[in-house]
Amino acid sequence: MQNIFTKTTEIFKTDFVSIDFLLPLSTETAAPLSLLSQVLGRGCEKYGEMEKISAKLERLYGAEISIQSNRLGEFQTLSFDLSFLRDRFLPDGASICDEAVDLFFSLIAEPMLEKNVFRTDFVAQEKQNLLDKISAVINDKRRYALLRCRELMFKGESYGVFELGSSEKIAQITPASLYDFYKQVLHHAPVYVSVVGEGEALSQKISAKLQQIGVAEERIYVKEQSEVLAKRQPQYFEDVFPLSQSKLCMGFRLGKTARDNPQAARLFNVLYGGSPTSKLFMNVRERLSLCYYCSSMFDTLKNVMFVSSGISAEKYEAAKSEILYQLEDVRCGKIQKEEFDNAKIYLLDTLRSIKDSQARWCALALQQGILNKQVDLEQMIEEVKAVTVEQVVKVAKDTELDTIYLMKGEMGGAADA
Amino acid sequence: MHDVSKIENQKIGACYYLVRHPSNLPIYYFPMPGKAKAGAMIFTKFGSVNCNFKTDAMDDYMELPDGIAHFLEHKLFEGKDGNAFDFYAATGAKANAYTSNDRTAYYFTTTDGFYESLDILLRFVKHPYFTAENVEKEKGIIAQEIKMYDDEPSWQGYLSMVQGLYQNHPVRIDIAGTVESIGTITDTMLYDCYNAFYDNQNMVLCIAGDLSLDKILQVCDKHLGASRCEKVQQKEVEEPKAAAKTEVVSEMVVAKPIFYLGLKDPDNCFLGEDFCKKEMETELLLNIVFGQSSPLYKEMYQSGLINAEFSCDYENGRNFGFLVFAGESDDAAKVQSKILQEMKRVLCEGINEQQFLQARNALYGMAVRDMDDAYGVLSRFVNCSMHDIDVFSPLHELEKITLSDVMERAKVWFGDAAMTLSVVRKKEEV
Repeated sequence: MQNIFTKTTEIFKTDFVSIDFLLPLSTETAAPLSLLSQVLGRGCEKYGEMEKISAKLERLYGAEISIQSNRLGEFQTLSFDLSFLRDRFLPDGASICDEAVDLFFSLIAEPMLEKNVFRTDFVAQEKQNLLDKISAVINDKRRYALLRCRELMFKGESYGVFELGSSEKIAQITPASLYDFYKQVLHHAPVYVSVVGEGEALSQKISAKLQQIGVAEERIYVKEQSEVLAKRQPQYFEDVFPLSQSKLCMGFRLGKTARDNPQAARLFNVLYGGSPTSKLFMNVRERLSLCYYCSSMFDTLKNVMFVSSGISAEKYEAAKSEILYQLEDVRCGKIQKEEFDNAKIYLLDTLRSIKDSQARWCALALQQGILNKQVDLEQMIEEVKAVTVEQVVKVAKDTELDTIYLMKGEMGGAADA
Repeated sequence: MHDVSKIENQKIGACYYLVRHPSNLPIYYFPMPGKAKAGAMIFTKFGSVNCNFKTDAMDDYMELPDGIAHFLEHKLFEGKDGNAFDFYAATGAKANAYTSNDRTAYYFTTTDGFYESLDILLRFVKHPYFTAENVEKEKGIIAQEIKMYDDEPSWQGYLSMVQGLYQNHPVRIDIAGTVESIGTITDTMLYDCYNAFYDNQNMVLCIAGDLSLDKILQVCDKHLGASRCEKVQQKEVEEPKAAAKTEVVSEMVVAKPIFYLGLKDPDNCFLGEDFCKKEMETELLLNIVFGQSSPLYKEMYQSGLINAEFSCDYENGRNFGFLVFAGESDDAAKVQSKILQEMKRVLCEGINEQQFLQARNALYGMAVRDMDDAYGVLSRFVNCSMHDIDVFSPLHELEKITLSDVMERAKVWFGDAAMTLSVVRKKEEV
């Protein structure tokens, strides 16, 4: 059995297990993978339908199981997470580990079937739920602007694929096709496993179960990107909505420097727009009062950064200019020592905080896994400490604006403060 | 020598210290051995419901503009020598604040430099600095925040529900106010509010992490002066039993319609152990009747009437409380009628022992997990302090509550509580 990342620690009241199957992000598999994460939660052979599963979890002192599908760089995951209270925190000498693990694996490997395929009603209902989820993206305006920007910036590339799928692909799925797809994923998709809490004994149980199922042994890794930046004139897109506030999202491609030195790239992001003392926050919001939020977000797996801001429509040019002006400042090395030191301290705090979260340990293990690197938090912390101003300036110089997306708010006649 | 008591809960292996500080500010410290993060939260019992006040020194009540508590929260990050974030930047602490209906809380969590960060927290919260200029600047920023919330269907739907449910109670006031109402705020007004509501007697400090109580108290002693011990009054408000509106519909940019169904709490006890018992009975009841293991949830989910976004919670403050059912549905009216039907059925047929026991197990688990994370612990202390209950009381109550207690609570909630249904849907195409 392959490596299971095991973190033995006494500081949590729960044990936590994460099992992640990975597929490359693609228009062919996005919909079925998303749908699968929903259908699998509807029932399993041994324990019954979802309300019986919920009842069982409640009896197990509020144990939690989540089945989700998320994007991760250019991959899409099918993730199963389990957490349950450790014996010593249970009343009356109760012990729930074996029952919790058994339920967990029933959901993963023994779904409720009808005539040897997924139940027709489950598939039909969850298809509708998935379509509704896709439509609901518009409800969170900030998120919507980010998704649109990414989709437009990476049109035709796997990173631009929307992980929930499309209504056309969803319509094509049948209970039989979904079940075949499920078996492919279960037995052939690369899988990453993490256990945080009691440690070895639990890892052995998990390993034995996975061996019984027969999961894939091979791994999948982030591919080396082409280092040639797609140099093009920044594209501009806008959509108009009846909103009182506009949402701006700007996508930037980072270059080879960032890829070779991911900690410098992370630090650049914190300094530029990733903290309340970042250049974007201090200038676009605090100094110029152009917005309520203006921040940047960096995806280390794809080497891309997005700046998001909520502004009044007529402040667009001013906000865009200032956002670019601040990037130029970093490129020119206009970084004060205090500013730089503070960005480092902020990033170090973020990294150290991972120690207090089982979910974040698992996320780190998965990320390092697909980068084919060891999970060594202390080493990452040392690497961050060693980053120099020059390295951050170099990252900034290699950063190019690629796409601007404006979700333009136009309310008839509304005056802005 | 400080007045310190230690309170333990052997069962879950936790304890906390309560310091009755000479400044009149109660201080709670919850040790979390081995954890990397530590945090502190200081809060005051001042929120959007405090829309007027009078101290003994005043002739008459002062009316406050909507959104002033939230405005004050923003301004307390600015001091004479700079912005609080500039100082937190040197310790790496992640700091923030929030204003809700009946409280304003300031907090940080950090993996390093805890005592320096605590120093910053107390310094800024206890030393206000408002000028005409910095008040004007903030208006622009908060106006953008208000507009952001104006566009959020979930916030608007929820607010409409609360405004429908309450006729007079100030819980119906929008927390951030409006662009117009905040336009009237002045630095003098902010000082008046601060002096009345940010006195130590009205506040609580909570701390969690792997720390030294002595060092914590050293920092506190530096910043906590004497309390003014002034009496602050608010005008009494009569809230009738009935809702203002039983139905509200708004049109916004939203996909599937979203709904908020509110039930006004017919019982007016919100403090002390009696409230704690009520809260636990209510949580158990909601879990059993509307939770994911309930027959109602299954029926509504399977028929596509609701989806996984459906939730049911008991929202409450120091002098108000209501249930909220929220979710997405193409037929919210039908969801409401199913819920009403189920309430009647439960009143007739009751709840079985198994449902009760499993709900109790689940709530026990949640209470224990909540205390595994610094922010979770701090929030728990805030909630319990707001209701004058001990932080371990919920667990104690849970042990004592019986199935018949839960049924008695059902009779109160499912009897004739006032109800409001708020729906947000997209504009009908003409």
